[in-house]
Amino acid sequence: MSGSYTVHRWLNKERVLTAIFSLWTILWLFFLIREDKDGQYKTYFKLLTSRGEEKKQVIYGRDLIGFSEFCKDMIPAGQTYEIMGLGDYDVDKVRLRYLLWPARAEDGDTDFKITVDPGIKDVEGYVRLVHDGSKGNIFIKKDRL
Amino acid sequence: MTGAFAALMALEATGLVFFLVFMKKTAYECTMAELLSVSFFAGLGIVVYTLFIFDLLNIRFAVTNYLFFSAACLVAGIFIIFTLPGRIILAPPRAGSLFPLSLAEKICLSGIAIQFLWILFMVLPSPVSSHDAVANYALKSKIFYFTGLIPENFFNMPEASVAHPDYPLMLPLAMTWIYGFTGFDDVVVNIVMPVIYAAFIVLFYSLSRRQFGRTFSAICAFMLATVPQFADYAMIIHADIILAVFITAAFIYMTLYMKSLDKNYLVLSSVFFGFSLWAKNEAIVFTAAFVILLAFFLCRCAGRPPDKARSMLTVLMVLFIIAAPWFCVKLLSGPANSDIRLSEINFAGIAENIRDIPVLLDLFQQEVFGPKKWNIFWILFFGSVIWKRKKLFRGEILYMTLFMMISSACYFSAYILMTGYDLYFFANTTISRFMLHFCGAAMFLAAYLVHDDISRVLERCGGKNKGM
Repeated sequence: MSGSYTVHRWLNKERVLTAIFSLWTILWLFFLIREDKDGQYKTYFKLLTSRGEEKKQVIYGRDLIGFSEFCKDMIPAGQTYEIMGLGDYDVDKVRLRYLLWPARAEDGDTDFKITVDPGIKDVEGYVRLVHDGSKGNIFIKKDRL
Repeated sequence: MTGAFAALMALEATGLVFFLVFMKKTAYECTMAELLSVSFFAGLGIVVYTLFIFDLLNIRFAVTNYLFFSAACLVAGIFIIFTLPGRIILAPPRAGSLFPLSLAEKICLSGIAIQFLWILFMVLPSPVSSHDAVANYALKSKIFYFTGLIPENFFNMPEASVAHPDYPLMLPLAMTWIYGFTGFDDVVVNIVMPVIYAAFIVLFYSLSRRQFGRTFSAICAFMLATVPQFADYAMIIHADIILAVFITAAFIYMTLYMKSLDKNYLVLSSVFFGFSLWAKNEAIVFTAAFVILLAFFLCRCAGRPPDKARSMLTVLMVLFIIAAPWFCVKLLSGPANSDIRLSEINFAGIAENIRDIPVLLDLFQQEVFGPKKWNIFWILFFGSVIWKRKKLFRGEILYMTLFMMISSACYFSAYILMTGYDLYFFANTTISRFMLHFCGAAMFLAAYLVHDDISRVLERCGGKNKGM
């Protein structure tokens, strides 16, 4: 009886509230500071020291940006292309699509085919355009040559 | 950065003029904090609405047109404000002066400031990068900015060209507005998210103050501001946090109306619900729940039937005026939803999804008990609901509870009716975002349930918790 009375006295609302508030604050600070992804802070400091388009290279990767620049030179605005060899939800795929607008990504019979897999050297009905091939290749439809 | 600041100021000024006209016309009283934050979100909604109308009228998305529009609003607004009788009343904060702050208030204020600065510093040097931001919102705004309009076949573009063309356009159009002032700069445009976050915390605090004491409101605002998931979504270009903001504000105004029967709250609630329909498709669920509950409330409350009918009609009119352009275009152009295709719903698919309910529940409990995304937010919420279960169906809390129950039941049904993917994939990629839509309203409901008990404790500790 006296034990439960002691617990009851100790567990008053002020203490419960203080405990909840303290736990909340500790967890908040822990998850705020903890790196969510490996190298998050390193990337962040690189971003701080980069300017303009360099920032995109830090986030998207130098290879992807270089390859997208090449594709932009090759694919005129309004033409269509298909990105091959990447899953529908692959982040490189959506980033390429974003970078390459106003050229338009589509599926199927497109003016160009893009692959970020350097191993793909041939696409039926298309001719490969010259690129160093480090990130990928770009192909143009034969009847457009 | 100056361009982005100008864009946001133009947006704020546009909203401010509309809100001041409303205040003068209706004698609505509010604090400076509520005035500025509501004006920001009103401005956001009005600007998005206007850009959409620009497109329908074939007026290009160009900064000269934006400035002309803002200037016209300012001139017309100021003229109306000066010609209308009465005066604009800025109510003082509830418990007198803002200072001195209690220890709890100092901690909360510092916490919110640290969290906001953290978000700002993480956002400022980064280009748009997250998956959905690039696939959806940023790509759409890039398309709109460079095309100068919404392209003719935009709503029927395949998913391979642009993700989810059927999604409402609040965020892409807001970004297009900013690009008008800055030129195409997908680093600076990110600033819109921390500003939305900050305006929302101010709004949440000022609306909480209509109901609760100062220290208790500060604690609620601090907890909401530091929910990791909430802060994380303020760092990336996503519409989920915008939906959460509009739903939370609408929900609180709805509660205030049901408590006080002040029609101004009802109008504000419908305006926020109306604009939420421009943020995400899920807003339909919340808005429908609001209309149903309002009808239920009006049937039960005392008053003359013509007055009740007028209240209902006002709400429906506001919702119709705000949402009509978007839904007309959507219905006429018929973009397909990639997650739920009505023609593909069949018994076998539903049965398969029902079999996977344990997977859904497992993901849900991971969200509730995992502190990484939610701290102990949902544990506290469900704890408050269990602790104060007897209050859940009393007075205006009944409608708050039903609102949460109806909307979460609709979300659950959407998972069961989903046709696009398998349930695990869909739930795993969406559940934390969907819970974000509820978190502001859940915070307010939990606060409403426990504030009597907590306020007493805070008073003993020396906090300021007197009502208005």
